[in-house]
Amino acid sequence: MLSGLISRTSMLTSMPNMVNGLTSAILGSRSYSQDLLDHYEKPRNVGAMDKTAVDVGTGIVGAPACGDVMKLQIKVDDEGRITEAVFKTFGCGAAVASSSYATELIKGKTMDEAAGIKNTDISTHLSLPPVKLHCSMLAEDAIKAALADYKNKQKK
Amino acid sequence: MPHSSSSHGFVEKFKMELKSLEKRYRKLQMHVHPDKFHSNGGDQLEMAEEHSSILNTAYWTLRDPEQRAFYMLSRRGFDISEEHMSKQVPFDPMFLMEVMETREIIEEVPAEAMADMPSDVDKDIAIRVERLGELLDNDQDKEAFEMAVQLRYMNQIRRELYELVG
Repeated sequence: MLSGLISRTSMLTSMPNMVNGLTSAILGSRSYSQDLLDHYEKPRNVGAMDKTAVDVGTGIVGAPACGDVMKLQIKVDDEGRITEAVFKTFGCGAAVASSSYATELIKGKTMDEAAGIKNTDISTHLSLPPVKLHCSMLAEDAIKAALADYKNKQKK
Repeated sequence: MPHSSSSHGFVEKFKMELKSLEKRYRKLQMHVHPDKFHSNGGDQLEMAEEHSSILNTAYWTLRDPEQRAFYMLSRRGFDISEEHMSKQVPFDPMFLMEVMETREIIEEVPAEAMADMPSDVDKDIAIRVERLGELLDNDQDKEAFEMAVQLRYMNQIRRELYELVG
């Protein structure tokens, strides 16, 4: 199989993210903004809620590119407003910062308002470098997953 | 159409005999290693460096089961680019929950209480690699892709664990 692999184009374009991961790890810290570093070093709302509680919505998402996971939980009151939000993320600085900022963004919002949050709201605020934009998308997915879980529970 | 026979006429199986892989790698390196081309200089040296580098990438990709699986899947039409894989690949949410819980345990529990974990994780990974091989060899590509992604998550857990526990 080895000699068949030295076909430059197909090898390099289909290569797993090994090299990309290394590069961004080396370059990443230099392109992190102050806001991002702040959320990474002092993340807000790290924690966990009882995922069985009826007023709690839990969203767990993962990015297969790096094998990292993000959990975001919300507590919703009778009026459909998010009173509390916590997160736990195992991932790079940008992923931690994105989920930290996401919890800040959704606190106090109605579920509809929270559903309207876009990954660009997060990536712009944190000035995410292009290679880390997917972290903000993951955070957006986490918000939506938490909302979906909460809504699902109300049906039962 | 089965994938197991490639255009080169050999059967592409998942299981890799590491010793023979290394042997072939070293043999090929003898032909392309830059050290052999210093006197030729210029273009030839540059080409040797490129080929040697690609050869290294190929070797390390094939050595590792996870990398090997994704490489094979890319040849079967799966998009394994960072861009595509960065998005949530929809699959078993229960698995993600378990990954989350495992990583939380690793973070919170003192090292002494985790003595069994590394071997448990290693066992899980060994089982997954075996299963992955079966799926790929049977051309069950979609299931293989899911298993490869799960393996990636498990490898990440393994890395964390060994960093903490040693």
